[in-house]
Amino acid sequence: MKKIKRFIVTRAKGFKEWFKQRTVTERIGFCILFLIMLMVLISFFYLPYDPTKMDGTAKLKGPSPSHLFGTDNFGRDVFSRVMSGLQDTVIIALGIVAIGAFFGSVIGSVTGYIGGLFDEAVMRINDAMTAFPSMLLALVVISVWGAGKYKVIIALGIAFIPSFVRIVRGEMLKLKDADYVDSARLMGVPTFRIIYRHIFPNIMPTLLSAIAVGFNNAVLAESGLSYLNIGVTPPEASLGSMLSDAQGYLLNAPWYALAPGFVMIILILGFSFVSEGRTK
Amino acid sequence: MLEVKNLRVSFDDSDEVVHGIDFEIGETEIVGIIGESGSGKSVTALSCIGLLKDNATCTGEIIFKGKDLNKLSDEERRAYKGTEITQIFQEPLTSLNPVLTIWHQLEEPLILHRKNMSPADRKKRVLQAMQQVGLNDPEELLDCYPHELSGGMRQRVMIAIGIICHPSLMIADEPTTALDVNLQDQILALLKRISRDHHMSIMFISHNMSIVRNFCDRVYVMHKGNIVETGTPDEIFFDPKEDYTKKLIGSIPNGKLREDSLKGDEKTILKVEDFSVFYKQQKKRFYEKTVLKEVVKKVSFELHEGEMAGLVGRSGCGKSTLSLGLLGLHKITKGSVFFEHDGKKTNMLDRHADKHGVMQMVFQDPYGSLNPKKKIGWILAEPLRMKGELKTSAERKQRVHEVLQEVGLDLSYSRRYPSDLSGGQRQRVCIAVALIQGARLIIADEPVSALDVTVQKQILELILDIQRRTGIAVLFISHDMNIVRQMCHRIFHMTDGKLNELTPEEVSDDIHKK
Amino acid sequence: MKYFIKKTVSMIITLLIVSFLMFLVFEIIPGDAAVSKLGTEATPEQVERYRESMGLNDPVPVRYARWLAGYLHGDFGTSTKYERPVAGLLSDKLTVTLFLAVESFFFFFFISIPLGVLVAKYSGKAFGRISHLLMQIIMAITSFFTGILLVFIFGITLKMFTPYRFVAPGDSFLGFLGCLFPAAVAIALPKIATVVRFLKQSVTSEERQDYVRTAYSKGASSNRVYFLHILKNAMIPVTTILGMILAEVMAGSIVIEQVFNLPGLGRFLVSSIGSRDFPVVSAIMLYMAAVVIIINNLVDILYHVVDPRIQND
Repeated sequence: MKKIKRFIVTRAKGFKEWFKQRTVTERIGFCILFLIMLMVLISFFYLPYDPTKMDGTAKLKGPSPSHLFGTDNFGRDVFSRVMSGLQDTVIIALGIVAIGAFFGSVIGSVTGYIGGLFDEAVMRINDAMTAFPSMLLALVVISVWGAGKYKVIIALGIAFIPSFVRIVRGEMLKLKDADYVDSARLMGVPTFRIIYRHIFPNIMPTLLSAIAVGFNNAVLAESGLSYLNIGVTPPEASLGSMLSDAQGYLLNAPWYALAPGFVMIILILGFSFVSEGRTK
Repeated sequence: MLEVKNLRVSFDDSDEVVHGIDFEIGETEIVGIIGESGSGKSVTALSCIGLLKDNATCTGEIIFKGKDLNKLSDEERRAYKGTEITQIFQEPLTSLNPVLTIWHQLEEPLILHRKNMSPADRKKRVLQAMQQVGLNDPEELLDCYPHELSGGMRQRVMIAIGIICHPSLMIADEPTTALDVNLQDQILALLKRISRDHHMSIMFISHNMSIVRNFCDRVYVMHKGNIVETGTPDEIFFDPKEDYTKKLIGSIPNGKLREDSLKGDEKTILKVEDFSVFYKQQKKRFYEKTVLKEVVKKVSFELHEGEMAGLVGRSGCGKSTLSLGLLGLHKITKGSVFFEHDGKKTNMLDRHADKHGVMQMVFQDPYGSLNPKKKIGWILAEPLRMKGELKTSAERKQRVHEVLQEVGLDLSYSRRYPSDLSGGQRQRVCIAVALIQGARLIIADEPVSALDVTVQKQILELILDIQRRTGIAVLFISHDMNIVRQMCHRIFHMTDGKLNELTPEEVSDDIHKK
Repeated sequence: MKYFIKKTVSMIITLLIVSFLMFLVFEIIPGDAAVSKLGTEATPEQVERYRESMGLNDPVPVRYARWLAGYLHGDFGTSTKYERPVAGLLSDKLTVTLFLAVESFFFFFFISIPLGVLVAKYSGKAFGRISHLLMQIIMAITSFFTGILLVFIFGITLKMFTPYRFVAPGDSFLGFLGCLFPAAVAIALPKIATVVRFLKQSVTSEERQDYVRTAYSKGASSNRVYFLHILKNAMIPVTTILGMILAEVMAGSIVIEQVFNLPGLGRFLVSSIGSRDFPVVSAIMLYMAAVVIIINNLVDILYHVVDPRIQND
């Protein structure tokens, strides 16, 4: 018991130290992300209203204590819809970045380390893929395959791989001839271990900031697709699809469009604040 | 002509790096300022010409020709920069703008300060200045970009930019450090001639004692932001008064020959025969055959146990390539390299041979050779984990601590990251990495050339001490003849990928010129 | 010159790969065109006859060659929805997209470059900090939400323009450009923010270079140093990003056209995806991909012209 307590105390102290070292922007960024993740977690268990429940008596009502962000054209509670939309948006974006970053770093680090003809071939394909904007690539997949949450994750996830390959490979090329890598080779460290224990920790900072940037791009791309009604399909709603529904009521019920829009801005801002601190 | 009184420079209002120094430079005088890195000599130079960044505060008087420059506004001060006071820098390639032609860069001071000059006059003056600094065919160079010139030519262009408006003071901040030895002499001779012909004073900043000794009329010694001593070069070098100066002068490699010699019956530890190392040449078209460039050309030599062998040669002659080739880090090689110890013969070029640990390397750049993301203890324990002889982490820790003590570091270093260490301490860790693997031969590639003289001396002593104690053989690569003379039993001289052997007595500074 | 040829060849190869993928995706994968054309009730003989007449029985490479040859002659197939040649359907929409692109790129270019240098120059001061934060916020706004905000603030609240109005270029060319302007701003804003950030980073890293010190030591003023010495160097890494943005803009902004109700290629693409009008979809997508590939390659070539250090290689 004592051990656990001491562990927690030292960890908390370490966290405090770590937090003190961050810049102000970074601290704000972390706070925003923490709050958003908290909201997403809560939204799994509790929402003030059922986001799909319609209420004919309360159509397009302005913000009030009972409906924090007002109601939409079907009388649904916008706050609850934003919460559940945020949840979908975050999950989809995380899925996209996870696919992109994982495959991107595996392919990028191996091809960068090996080099030669293999590298040449991989990069050719990679370049051809980056020639497509990720949005277009996802459009191709979806136009053939149909829309849907998981299809969006896979389509955009694949579209995000090339940029991670490029970043990780670039770092790999820079680092693989470092003296400390030669030194590790002289120690008799096997190639696999050199890549993942010696070089990869040094790529990590770059990769982390690429992940933060990638997360933002994923949110933007997903919301773009959903806005065009070819991403998430109703009744599920991400922040993007809510915006497209709300645009028609801009004149009478601006809160309907502004609420999801601003939540999205804050989400992206949180990540870009954090990633900016990382790059410095 | 220039009189500096009570100059203090601090950054971000907190750490003061120059603590109130006074010095003066007379007309056509060449004044040297020597000191180790961090002594504040470069900051002093920058504050004299007025190039400090915004976060620096500079107090005191900088009186140039009777006027206190420190009291002038930025605008007024700019009228002095490039005309009355100019500066040349250490690295001529990066000091010239890579995307502007030589002509644009030479012309700029005239555009800024000689506003009524016609374009034709400007061109005349530019060509004249280029001839003065020994650039022949100046017309052809005008349209070149800096990267198209050689290192020596670039520094000449820098000097031409410096003298184009006939300044009275030139500040030269380590102007020859980035150049090869023979180019150094030429540039120094050029500076001296210009100083005499144009009545220009030079404030010469350097860490290289022997250059300052031959070049300057008077010397200031700086240490930790203070001027500790001043005098003529002879006074400073032969009769230093202050403790620090004595230590500094004492650390300069004197080139005295090594006293102990080998017995002559030592066993061969490394046998190299007809060894060549190749580089792939950049292909122009993808269907062309890869052309191999022979960088090391059929060298043969032997190293013996307990021997310290030197390898000298100018930059680009293939020294480092040879050392990487010997260690099997370079794939395209020819010939044979055999390592022999305890009756066991290892083929270093066989990719599958178990050759780890027997031969190790200490790299030149102490900042690149330790993984910045790992603690010293982890780095040192890594080869032990690979070998697998010491099973528990406690045993490994024990061994790491022993080795750290051997190189003169205490146990607390195992918990630090490389970034917490100074250059000298890092180099000690690199030596420890070699020792912990039980290396019998260490290849040290310019291990001290990135270090300050006083630290350099400590590391050299450590290497000698370890070698005497353990009888390791060392192949010591350096460009500094004095160091090699005092360290090595035998010396190899490399030119254009070929080796010839010399005794320490035969080595002298002007070996490169032959 | 050698580089130019090499680059052109590799560009053509990439274009061929992309077009082949497009062909696969839209001509082969969607299933049997004959069945979808004639309906499931058609007899096998009818299907067979149709396939024979349309050349659907030929091997894939032959069909690809025919398809590609058609494209090169300006024959993009026939729209299944409108039953008219695709080329004719696209020309009006292309005009809208291209003018929107040109307008937004001009707006973007002349604001982002000077602003980027100024933000870097005054990075420690209030101006630099505020504009840096502003750029971050702008980047965090999805382009279509920017559009919605523009409509809401300047269109609906301040009534500075009539939202969702479109003037055909034939009626009034100036009116046409005017109605594109809010959309052009919405496209340009996030891109301005991106480039300002990149340029700031690039300028900040150039600021530390030795040649800047040399320039100051010559007595050059800080404006001269920033806009002559530094900008020229700092632009080199930014060229690639400028090219990517130009390509992206020229390909058309699908989402922004939707927000502002502009009849451009992007909106047509979305509606064609909805109606599964594959000849139209593949033609538009191929246009977008080709624009991106061609512009990116041109920029790579330009890059070699801008940076004298790689000219000789």
